[in-house]
Amino acid sequence: MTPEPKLSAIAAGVRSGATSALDVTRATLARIEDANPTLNAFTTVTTERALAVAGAVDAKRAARTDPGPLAGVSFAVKNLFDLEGLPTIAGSRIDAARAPAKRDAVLVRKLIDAGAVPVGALNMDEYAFGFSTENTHHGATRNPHDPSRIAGGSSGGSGAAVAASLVPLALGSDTNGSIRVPAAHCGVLGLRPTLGRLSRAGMRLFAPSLDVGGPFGRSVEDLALAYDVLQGPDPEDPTCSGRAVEPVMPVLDRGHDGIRIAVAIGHFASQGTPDVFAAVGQVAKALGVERPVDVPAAGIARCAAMIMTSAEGAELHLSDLISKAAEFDPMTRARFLAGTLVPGAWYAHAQRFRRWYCRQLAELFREVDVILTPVTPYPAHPIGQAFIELGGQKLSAAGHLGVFTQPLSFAGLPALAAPVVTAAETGSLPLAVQIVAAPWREDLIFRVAAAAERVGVLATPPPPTVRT
Amino acid sequence: MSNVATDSSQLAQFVREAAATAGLAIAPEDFADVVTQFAVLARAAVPLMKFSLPEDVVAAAVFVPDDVSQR
Repeated sequence: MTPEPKLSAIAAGVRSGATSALDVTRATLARIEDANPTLNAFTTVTTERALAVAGAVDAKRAARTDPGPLAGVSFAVKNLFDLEGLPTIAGSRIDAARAPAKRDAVLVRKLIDAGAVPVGALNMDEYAFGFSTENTHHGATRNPHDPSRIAGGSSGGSGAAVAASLVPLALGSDTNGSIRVPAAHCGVLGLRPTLGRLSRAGMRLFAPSLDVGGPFGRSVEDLALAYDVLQGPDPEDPTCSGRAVEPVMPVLDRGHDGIRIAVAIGHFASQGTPDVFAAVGQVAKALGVERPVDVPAAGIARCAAMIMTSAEGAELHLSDLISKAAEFDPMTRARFLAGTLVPGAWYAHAQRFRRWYCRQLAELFREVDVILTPVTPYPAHPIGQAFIELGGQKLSAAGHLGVFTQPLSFAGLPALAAPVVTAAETGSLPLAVQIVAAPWREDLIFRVAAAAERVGVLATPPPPTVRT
Repeated sequence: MSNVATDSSQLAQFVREAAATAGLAIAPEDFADVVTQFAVLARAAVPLMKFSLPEDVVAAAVFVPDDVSQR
């Protein structure tokens, strides 16, 4: 099977004139038309705009102006990113009544400025409050590797669209794992950058002290190229750091020699099925990693993340919860309502705990540079499954999916979810590893991921054939 | 700090009274689900609130000069 072309190859073809952005875009739109009725990854396909932007890319080339490093690359965004002319629905029915966005989100603009072509908006859990993209208003997004199963969430449309090669690049957002979980379930790469690294201007937030935007892609190089385009200070977003761009493309070939890598134990070695731990072990073995590390109080960090997320999310939607609770998705309504009632002392203690926890992690990162953990506690479960039995406990099947992602994003750490090439028989369902570093050290994550990809333990499975 | 109630009737009473205080009208058909979800948060609060922190750990914001020329 011919491997999917890399972003750099697509752009090179457009820049050289071997193909045109319009041809690439038409092919993308045809794939979406073919597979989306089955997957339900897209909530809106912006055909007219995509063709117009692609035409502008081709016009630039014809005028001998550089169309950019992502020339002609199709991309789509979770529908909480502003796309000019569309209401930003954030998975809701309520926000569909809001005025259309007057301009694109900053991250969308950066991709378009680099020559990429927006082809639509992607499904998600309502207001990003979920890990399964089982959205009552817009339907569940289906996993391309088994359409009876969830794609993960809340950026499930992003994961599914990239996994099925409807687009080679997508944007999602991650509060507690909402990029990493669908990336893991769908078998693609998803990056949660350090909180403050990328602009959030034009993104509908869920829990503002935890939310970040980030890219999904099919290879380390693709993700690195997109991430480098997305970086940079943004005066429109006070939470965006003033740091200069720190490109990772130049470090991909540097290997992992000298990087102190450890495998997380304790919290990160229980509460999951054996296959997810075996996948992490396989990556560790391939990279020659034997050192264990125990992240202190990770379980408490998850509890604190749950309290803060619920309280912050409820506060953002309080007026709608008071005036039109019935219009919320039944999948999220009770969670948001419960969040309005979180006692102040719980929230304040969670904030103080975060300060303590970040100090502990800063100490830990004096000893190690990169930590490997599982992403999810099990592969994708069937759509509609409410509970799962694990270790004699009956757990919320979707709610438990964040057990390994929440303790890390809670401290603002950058983390990458990447698909592992396993020997284990797990049906056709992808398994993944989470590669985590200290704040602002995405470069180390990319070096380790690139090394794992080179030795063949990390790779996106071929896109499954999906037809309606 | 560690006496978080997890008894369902206590939680239901809290949800009813706190919602009324906040001006939140929970529909009767949603009430049981809201109590269930609040119980999830209460269970998370138990170990969190038991976790004792040094007094010098504070959540105060740190204000630094905002040099817009650096952006």
